[in-house]
Amino acid sequence: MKHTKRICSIFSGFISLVGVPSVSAESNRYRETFDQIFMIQLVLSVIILLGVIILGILLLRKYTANQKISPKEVKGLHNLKLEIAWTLVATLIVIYLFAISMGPTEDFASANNRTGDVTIIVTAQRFSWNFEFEGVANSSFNSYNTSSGQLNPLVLYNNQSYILKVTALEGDVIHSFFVPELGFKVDAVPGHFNYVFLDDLPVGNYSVTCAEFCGAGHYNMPALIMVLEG
Amino acid sequence: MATLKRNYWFLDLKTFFGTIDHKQIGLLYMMFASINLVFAGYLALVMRTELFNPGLDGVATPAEWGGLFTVHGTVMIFFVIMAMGAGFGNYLVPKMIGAKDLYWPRWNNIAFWMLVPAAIFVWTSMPPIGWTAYPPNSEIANPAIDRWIIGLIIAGVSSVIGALNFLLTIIHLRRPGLTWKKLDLFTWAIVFTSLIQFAATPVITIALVMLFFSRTFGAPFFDTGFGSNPLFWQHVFWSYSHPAVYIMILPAMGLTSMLISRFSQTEIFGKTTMILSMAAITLLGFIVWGHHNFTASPNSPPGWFFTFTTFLIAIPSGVKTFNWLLTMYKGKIVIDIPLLFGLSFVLGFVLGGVTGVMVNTIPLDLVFHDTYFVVGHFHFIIIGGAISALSGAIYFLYPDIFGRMYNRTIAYLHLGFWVVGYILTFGGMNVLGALGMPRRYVDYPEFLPNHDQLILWNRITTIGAYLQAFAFTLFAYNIVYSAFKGPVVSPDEAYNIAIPRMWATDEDAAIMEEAH
Ligand SMILES: [Cu+2]
Ligand SMILES: [Cu+2]
Repeated sequence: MKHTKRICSIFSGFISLVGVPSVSAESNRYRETFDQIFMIQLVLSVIILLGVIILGILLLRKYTANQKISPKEVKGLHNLKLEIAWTLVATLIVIYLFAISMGPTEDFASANNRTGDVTIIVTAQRFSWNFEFEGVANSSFNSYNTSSGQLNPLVLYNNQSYILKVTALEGDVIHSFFVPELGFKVDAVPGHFNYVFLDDLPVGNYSVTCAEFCGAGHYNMPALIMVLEG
Repeated sequence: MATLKRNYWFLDLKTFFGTIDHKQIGLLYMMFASINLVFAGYLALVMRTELFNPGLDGVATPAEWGGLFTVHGTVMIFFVIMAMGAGFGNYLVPKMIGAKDLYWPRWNNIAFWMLVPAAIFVWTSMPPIGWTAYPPNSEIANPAIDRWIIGLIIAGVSSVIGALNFLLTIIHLRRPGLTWKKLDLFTWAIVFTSLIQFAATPVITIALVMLFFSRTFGAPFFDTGFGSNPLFWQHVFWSYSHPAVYIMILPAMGLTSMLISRFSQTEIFGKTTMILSMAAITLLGFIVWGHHNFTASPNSPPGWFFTFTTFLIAIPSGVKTFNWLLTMYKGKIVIDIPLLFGLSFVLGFVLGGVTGVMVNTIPLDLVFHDTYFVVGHFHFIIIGGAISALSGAIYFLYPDIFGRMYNRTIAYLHLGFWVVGYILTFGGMNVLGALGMPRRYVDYPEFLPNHDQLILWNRITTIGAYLQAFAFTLFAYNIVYSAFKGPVVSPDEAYNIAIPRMWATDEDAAIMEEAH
């Protein structure tokens, strides 16, 4: 256990070195799951990668021929036990990875069956986002002022739960509502609603950006989510 | 000069356009792919140069950007990697099975020459839609998109003819006594590749025809208002295009098996398992496409099915990786250029494999989808993997093709710059994606999280891309220069290894002809 913790801390050191924000108490549930599962897979991947490289180098060194011409061909080898063994190991790893991802997947996917304190309709259009509080008259506003470039933040509170209903304007194209630091994105498809459930949001500012190619302004579709103490 | 005559057959226009010889058509495919690679690679460098510094530097404008990545992707897939696979299939398969030529030599010529107008249509289009062409973005009025669609339909027809030709050849023209069990792994790879091409390509052709109708005549195939949905396209498209990624990787797997076993002077470790793994990958490849749609409709139920089937593909892939390594076990390894490129395939394949497992994990995909992480993942497999194997195979066959030998020192330099280059480029892209940078961005504006690190990692990625370009320059120089000036060698003496007879001799071919 102590060992695992140490390995984890080495890897989170490595990750902060390459710049991925490491696990912090400040993340929301989706980002937390992301950080945990990413860490597990990163450790596994590095082990597999090192295993392959080391095995390759060892075999190369051990079996390099001294003289170039060998008298006759070597017969093909196979070892059923060994092959069954690594098939089983690979299967177990894969089933483990599948199993740990299922709970969080279900949690994220079931947003359309949940209710939140507040429902917000997010409508994407080329090249900005429109927010509207469902059932509140005249609550619609655009994510930013195209002439001044000023961002109009979507203000949320940490003691409330939210349902985002994400779509795109009729006649527009597909966009994707991506909040890297909150650990999710969902596509904004014209004529179709995708649901996201949010609660226990840590106080802070979170940038939103578009993740589905939507035209020349795709790279510059900012929005800001501001989470305040409620 | 025998080598001159042998190397310059294509200067005779009648032979150039009319040849039905499988070796010459194979070389035509390889030349065609190389020319496309130069230009598609140039587009990649333009994009990487724009991204070196933050801000719009004017190397490429936002309006041009969509056309750049669309044509880069489309050309690399259909006219570089797939064409190279077809090239090696043409060059090697008849030799391997002891046939004089393919089953339909004339159709073979036609299938190749269809690719040229297809490529011209695509190159002159530059539509801002991505190679995935998602509607409604691909339904905007722009004649460039129509040209792109027509180009791809032609390429698809060519691909189906080619696949059928390979299947018929391998089924009917094997030399007597060459049972399926004895068939080599490269030919097996072409069998599976052709099965995928034959089964999946009609699907994308139909989808492209539907898109064409919806654009030209307003047919509402992908419109919400008429009971359909833009997401319908994504399902049809990926149900072809996921299997299609194996059209790109399977021939390279076959070549890797060939390179590693030749230079270890052993047969491949666990050949039966290798064939079964390819079969498993082929079958599973058809039922995983939904992993491209997790974030498109996250509340719909079949997500777990596609994530599960995709995870399963990791098993045969892992098995193949260890079998490649174990092929060296108890071998008499000759360390030389082709072997090292084969091992470079394994490295790229593992790096792309582990990152592929990550993107398939839905809680990770919620962040990684449509970011540079995905771009890093598939470039590791297709560039780090497939291009490595194809380069190694070109070096391996060089004495057979040109009757001369290339310069080994330059080839080692090529290898070094290549491996370092692709690790930096695509590793850098993986980090960029993990930092949250979406793909298909002409710039990374300051409002994006981790902006400082985005600058650093974009620069590393761009430097890596230039290293790869330098490696390719060395490669091209070596190939062209050595074709004139390289020492004359026979294939047997080139590597000085005891190659178990890899392909049939002319005698076998004569016997074969009598049998028919
Ligand atoms: Cu957008
Ligand atoms: Cu796929």
